[in-house]
Amino acid sequence: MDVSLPNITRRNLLGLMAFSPCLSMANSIAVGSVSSLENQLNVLSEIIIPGSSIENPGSAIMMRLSTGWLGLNTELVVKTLGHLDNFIGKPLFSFSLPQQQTAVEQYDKHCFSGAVDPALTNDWRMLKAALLACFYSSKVGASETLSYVPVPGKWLPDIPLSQATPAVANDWLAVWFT
Amino acid sequence: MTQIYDAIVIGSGISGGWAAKELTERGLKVLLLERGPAVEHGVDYKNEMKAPWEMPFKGFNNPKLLAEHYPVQSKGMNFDEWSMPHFVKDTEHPYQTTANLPFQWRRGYQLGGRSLTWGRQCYRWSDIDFSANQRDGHGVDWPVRYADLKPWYDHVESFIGVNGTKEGLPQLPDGIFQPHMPLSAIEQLLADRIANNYQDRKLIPGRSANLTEAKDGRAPCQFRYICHRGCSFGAYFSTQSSTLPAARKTGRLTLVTDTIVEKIDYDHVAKRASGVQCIDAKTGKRTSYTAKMFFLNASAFNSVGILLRSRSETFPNGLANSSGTLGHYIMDHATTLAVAASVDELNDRSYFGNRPSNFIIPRFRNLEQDSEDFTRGYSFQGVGFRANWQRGARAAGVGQDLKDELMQQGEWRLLMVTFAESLPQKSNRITLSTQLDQWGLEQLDIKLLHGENEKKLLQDAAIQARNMVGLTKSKIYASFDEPEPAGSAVHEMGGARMGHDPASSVVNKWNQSHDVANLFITDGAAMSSSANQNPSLTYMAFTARAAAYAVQKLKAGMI
Repeated sequence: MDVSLPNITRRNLLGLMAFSPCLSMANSIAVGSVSSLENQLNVLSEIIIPGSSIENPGSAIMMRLSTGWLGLNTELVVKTLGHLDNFIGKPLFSFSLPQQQTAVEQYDKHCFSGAVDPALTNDWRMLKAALLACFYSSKVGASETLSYVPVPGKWLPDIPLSQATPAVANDWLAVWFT
Repeated sequence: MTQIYDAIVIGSGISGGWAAKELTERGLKVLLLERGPAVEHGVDYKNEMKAPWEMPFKGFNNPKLLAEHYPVQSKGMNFDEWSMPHFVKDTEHPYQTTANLPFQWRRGYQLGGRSLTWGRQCYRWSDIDFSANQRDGHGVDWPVRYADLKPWYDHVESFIGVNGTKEGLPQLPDGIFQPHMPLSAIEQLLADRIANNYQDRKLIPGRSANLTEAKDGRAPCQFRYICHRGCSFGAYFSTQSSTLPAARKTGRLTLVTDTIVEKIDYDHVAKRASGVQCIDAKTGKRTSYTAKMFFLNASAFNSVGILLRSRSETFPNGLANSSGTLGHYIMDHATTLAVAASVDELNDRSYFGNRPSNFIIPRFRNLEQDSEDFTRGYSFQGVGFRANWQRGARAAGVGQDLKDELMQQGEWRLLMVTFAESLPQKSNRITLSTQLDQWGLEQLDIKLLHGENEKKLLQDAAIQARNMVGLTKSKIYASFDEPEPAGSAVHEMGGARMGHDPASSVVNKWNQSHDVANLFITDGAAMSSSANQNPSLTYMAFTARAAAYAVQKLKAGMI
């Protein structure tokens, strides 16, 4: 993954997306209901990991949000989605899916560019990590996208990488220490 | 009250299970008391087979629950959403400790104790360890040497099954091993580089109590590395898989769970321990049992607690405490993450399976004589693996490209953890608090702080670890030389130390109380030094040895 992309400005992004110059200056997204947050998380998850929304990560997160699951809380989720909208200039979810994909990709690069507030990067990273966790701990993500091997039955200490693909979701050392 | 038991074993963990096995197999009627609930092999490993998507929190646990009820337990290795039932709730089992760097007391109160969740690493101690106290004057001299323990190490390893390689290292004696679990490709690379660059050290496969060959009805390891959930295959050593079936097979074992031992009674006329006072953990109902002799195996610090609570006119400061050392000289290995690095080599190689073990770099410092900077030594335990999907959240990337990339394994990683010897210091101690637990028992107050020598060991270890990993094309992203809070190694030792002299120690070379001839303390409490090796194998060897001695003396009418 490229972690050294140049910082991208909101102006660049808007040009890229051919957005209307009429910008929303809202500091946060309007949160109509829990279900709207849930839907937004599902859409965001689908953009980050195509095919992941089938596992309804929005619901998985929202139903556990009060526990601080995966380091998330409502404020962080709302704030992060708000930052994303502010970066784009309009609510992400008012655009078409291709436009959303472009916007999220640029925002993701922006957050990891090293040129933004570390807190912003951290919030985005937390949300991204949570969405990845939702998917790769789901049946589809763990056992159909990656490989889930409940009883390996053997230890092969040195094999070609090609024989270890797709990666094993329950490679516990990697799960604990990555 | 009818005395129907020859012996009472207090605690069913690693050493208690061994006491029950050895005593029953040698013909004694044994009562095994366990403070926690029954956990039957296979039947009660509730989460063993569950996939992440079958867990309420998908394997990532409920942070709110952990903060409220498991603040200490949840920080430990082998605690996760699956294994949580095998750990105590901190809120239900409080203890007192120092506000600064509080002792981290990781516990499992159930049948089998922490044998269900232990790390399974098995290393013999050598005469470098058993003579250390005598050599540098810290602590009291061990009244045993390796030759005393060797046949019992053999006995234990032969029964539990330990995999490993014979290396001929004086500081880490070879044992009776099943075939080892080989090093992964990246670990072998590091081993080769170390061999080519150092004369004084060696990276070798870990020695663990996981079967690589079927044994006594137990299946070999299936390379799942979820041992801490409980293993229905019986592939790792636990009380449930190994010693308890053996003890039950004799027909001479009575097992009583949910029974907390409050104190051991002392008959000042007969000058013997006479019975145990117990509390039903569920109902609070009090009961007592008597026997001819007693094996205390409640885990190092709880064993000390029982003795401290067992005050009498003869022993106003705790049973078997004429020396005044009971509760003192407690230890736990000083540990920290010496190095974590990513490695940009062998990018076309990988592995398959989850090996439930690690590599070890045995102690190489101060084998002949102490350096000017520090005494004793340390070892490393480490692993090499490839990063998984979690790396996807740590760098830019979204969409199909990210998904495709995460289907591949990530870069190699190497981790090395230091285990440094903890010196026996009198100031590190357990006392009874005025705070009571829910059963009205005095809580333990634990003070254990690592000293300057431990810190110097860790500092040297971090430098050495970085140098060794630096032999690969690697990028170090973490390296620490300050100890984790004491308790983090989960190797509690001491408090009822072994020694020659009744005036300065609690038990003799047979783990027998100097003061009370029918009382044996054979868990970690009896340790007089900590070495740097994982201690459980040594507890087992001491327990088996003590049981043989005790039965011989009992049958001879000398106990």
